[in-house]
Amino acid sequence: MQTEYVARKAIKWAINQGASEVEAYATRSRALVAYVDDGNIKSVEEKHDIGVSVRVCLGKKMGQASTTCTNIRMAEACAESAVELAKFSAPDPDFKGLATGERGAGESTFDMDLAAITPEVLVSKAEAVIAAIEDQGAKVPNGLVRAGAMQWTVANTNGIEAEGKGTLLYSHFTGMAMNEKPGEGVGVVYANRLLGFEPSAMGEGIGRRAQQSSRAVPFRGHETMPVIIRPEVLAEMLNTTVGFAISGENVSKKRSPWAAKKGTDVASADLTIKDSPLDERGILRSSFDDEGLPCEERDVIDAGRLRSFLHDSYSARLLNEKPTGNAFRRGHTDVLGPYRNPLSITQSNLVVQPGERSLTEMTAGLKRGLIVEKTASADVNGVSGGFGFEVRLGLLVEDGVVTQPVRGCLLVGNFYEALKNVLAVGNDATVIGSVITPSICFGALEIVGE
Amino acid sequence: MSDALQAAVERMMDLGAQYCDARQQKVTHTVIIVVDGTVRTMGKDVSEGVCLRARRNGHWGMVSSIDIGKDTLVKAADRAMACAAAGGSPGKPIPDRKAKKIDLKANVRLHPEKVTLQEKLAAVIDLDKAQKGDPKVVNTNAIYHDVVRNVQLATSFGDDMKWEEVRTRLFAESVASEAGAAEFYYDGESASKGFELIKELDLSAMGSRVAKEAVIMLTAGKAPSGPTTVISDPMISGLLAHEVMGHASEADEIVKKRSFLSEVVGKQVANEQITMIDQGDVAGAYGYIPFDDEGTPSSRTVIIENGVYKGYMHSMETGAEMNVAPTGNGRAQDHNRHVFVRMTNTFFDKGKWTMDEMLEGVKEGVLTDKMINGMEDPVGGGFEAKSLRGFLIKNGRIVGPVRSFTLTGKALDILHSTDAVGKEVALDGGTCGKGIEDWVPVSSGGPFCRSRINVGGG
Repeated sequence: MQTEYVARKAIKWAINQGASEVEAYATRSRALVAYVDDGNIKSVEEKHDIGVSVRVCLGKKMGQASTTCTNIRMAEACAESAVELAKFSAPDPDFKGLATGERGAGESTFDMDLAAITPEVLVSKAEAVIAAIEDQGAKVPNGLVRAGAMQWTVANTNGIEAEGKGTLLYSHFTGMAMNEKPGEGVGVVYANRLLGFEPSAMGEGIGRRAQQSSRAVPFRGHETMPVIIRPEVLAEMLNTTVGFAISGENVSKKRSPWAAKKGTDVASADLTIKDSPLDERGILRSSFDDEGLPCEERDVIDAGRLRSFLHDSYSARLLNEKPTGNAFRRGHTDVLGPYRNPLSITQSNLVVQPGERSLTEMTAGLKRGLIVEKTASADVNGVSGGFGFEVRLGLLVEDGVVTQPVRGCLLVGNFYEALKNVLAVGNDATVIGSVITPSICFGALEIVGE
Repeated sequence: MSDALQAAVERMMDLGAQYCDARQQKVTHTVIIVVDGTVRTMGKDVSEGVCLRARRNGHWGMVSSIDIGKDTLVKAADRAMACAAAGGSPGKPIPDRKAKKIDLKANVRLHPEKVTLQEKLAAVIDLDKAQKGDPKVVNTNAIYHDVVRNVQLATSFGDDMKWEEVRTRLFAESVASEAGAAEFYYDGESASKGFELIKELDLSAMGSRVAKEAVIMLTAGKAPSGPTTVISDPMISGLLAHEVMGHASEADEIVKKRSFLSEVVGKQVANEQITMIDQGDVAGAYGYIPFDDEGTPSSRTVIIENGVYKGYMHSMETGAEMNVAPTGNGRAQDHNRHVFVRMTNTFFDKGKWTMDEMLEGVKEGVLTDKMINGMEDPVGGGFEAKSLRGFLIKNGRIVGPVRSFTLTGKALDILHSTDAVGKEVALDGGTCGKGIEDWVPVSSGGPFCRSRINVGGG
């Protein structure tokens, strides 16, 4: 079944059931995954999925339902279910209708090499990562390489009908080295083309970090110092603060600390961040969001000044702004089941404008500081900005050079405040999910040792 | 049994699978979200599909399909065997066992399918409304979620199994704001129960308490930094049990010697007051399962007893590798996902101390209150947990609230330092990932425990 057919049938059925407005979002996807366990290919898995999500309105009352879908009757039953839910719902006084727009098919990235990948090719890629990690003297406890392809259609009764197709590759591996003690290095790759995946480079980095981690010593004492945060950690910190604070939903709910700060300085002048839906590296690269609204590049923070919030059609109306095409269901690590995800306002690709200095050059500028390579978690409290992460691999810098890998300390601070104290922005931009960021050196963060 | 599942299993056996199974799942979710008095979500999701697994040597081929017709599944069985041929992992064979015939419905009093949407929505509106009142509360949220999971399993052992799981959750969260600062507080209940869970709650009291605590948080100070005497509440105690000791006791980590607990059976790893359990058959607990996704009955696994490490949690495969019986911990997120060794309900058992007795010995310390999240470290045994907030303790008395802070340290150091374990165990339901994927419902918990932990306040 084609997604366009599924969406149209679901819409038609919901109208027959009495809906005043209807939106249907249908996807068809295939994923192939190779799992690695203890240095061997443990499992090879092939998955196929078709599904639909239907949102309906009865005046100002809304209902939504989603289902896996192997025949049109299932799509119709889903539409019926959404109408039933709307009947029992209560009117939303702020709801002014579904998005309005037109028919279109825009740009996206669909790589045939990924879409048609075979188990043998996928396994060879996983084996290449394993070999590169083992070349560094580390073993490979676990890992996976996932290739996925999907097509989608979103259509509604207000004229929108957008189609797209895309591919993604997601890979995650750990390497484990044993020196004074066991230490682990981790690596992730997000790509929208098979050519974007370099197994040897991935494995080499993981093996090197595993070796550093196994030689790391506990950080002692309690200091405040400049800290360079690497993209693998920084991306989640940016996602849970900048991504949180610019979401129109959080602004409308007054959860965003930047709700009243548009046009004011919220970060260092060295920091410029854009939402860039058509960035060639972007995992969700496309001209339309999952409401079918066009998305375009926009400044989020320009030289430290907050320029814009991101919206879906609902939050835009709540705040008397224009929709920005930032309602998404699609994910960054898998293509299966996006119709099951609720629409949420998020960046397409949050791109931090890189600086001119390499990691080595930023490091050379530090009298004493820490490079944070890996933390246990990296999600900041988006409401307050507070965070405290266990550093699982840090590199202590003294007089401009790395002197010792360290671990077992807490990196503590308030990230909204830290954004105002940026010493340098690196040039090593890396794609981590929906964030593309280089390393950033922050002026003063608290390190609490054992 | 479904003819289609049986046909797929027979096909994989004919093609040489050493072990194989076909698992069909139908999962129905209902979600209702009310925000600031407005119904924002009235949603339902139905997903249905089949997962075929075939094992050759020590590796697997797996194919999932949403088309559950017989012809489709027989073709999928061929592809599963082709996928298995691409693998390359050694492993011991899974021992044969007696076939089971099971047909089990969830033991709930008010099945979610029998409760009207109006009744569910009314509860969520009441919970949201109860958070209103104080002008400092700028945002209120009430969320209801029920899920009905029906599983059918056919295996090369000859199993013909059907069972049902039902879970219900209700959650409230308020955001308070004043002078540019914002804080939040939450509370909720979750259980392997039907709508009776909601009927048993005082929604008005729950909502107003959440709002009141969010406002109190605006006056909270910064938590201390450095090694601190911590009285962990059941949620944070549970995170220590689940994230560090639990994940590192999943036997797939042991087989490949990734876990810091790989060689510790029979050794003293904690204060003798510490006993830790994983138990899938705790009736009503959010992580309750009658069987795991391989058809093994859930069970009680003693991981630590009086401070001495006892043993691991197993799937069929890790049980075979280590020559022990599986413990009912082979679980998958859904029909599209891999079976891993996973926890169920993981907790520290009760001790003998009252809260007053625990506080009495603390000159300076902190009492935790609820968690934000935690992270596992099976290699290094490091503990990281974020507490939603806490209370400073001075000279045996609670003196005031502190904002969210992080607790960290080596789990075994923390458990050796534990010198007081409370009298009552509480469990908290949630979902657990393996790494950053593969979410399954679990609960974790324990009593209040007093330990030395490194603390950092953000």
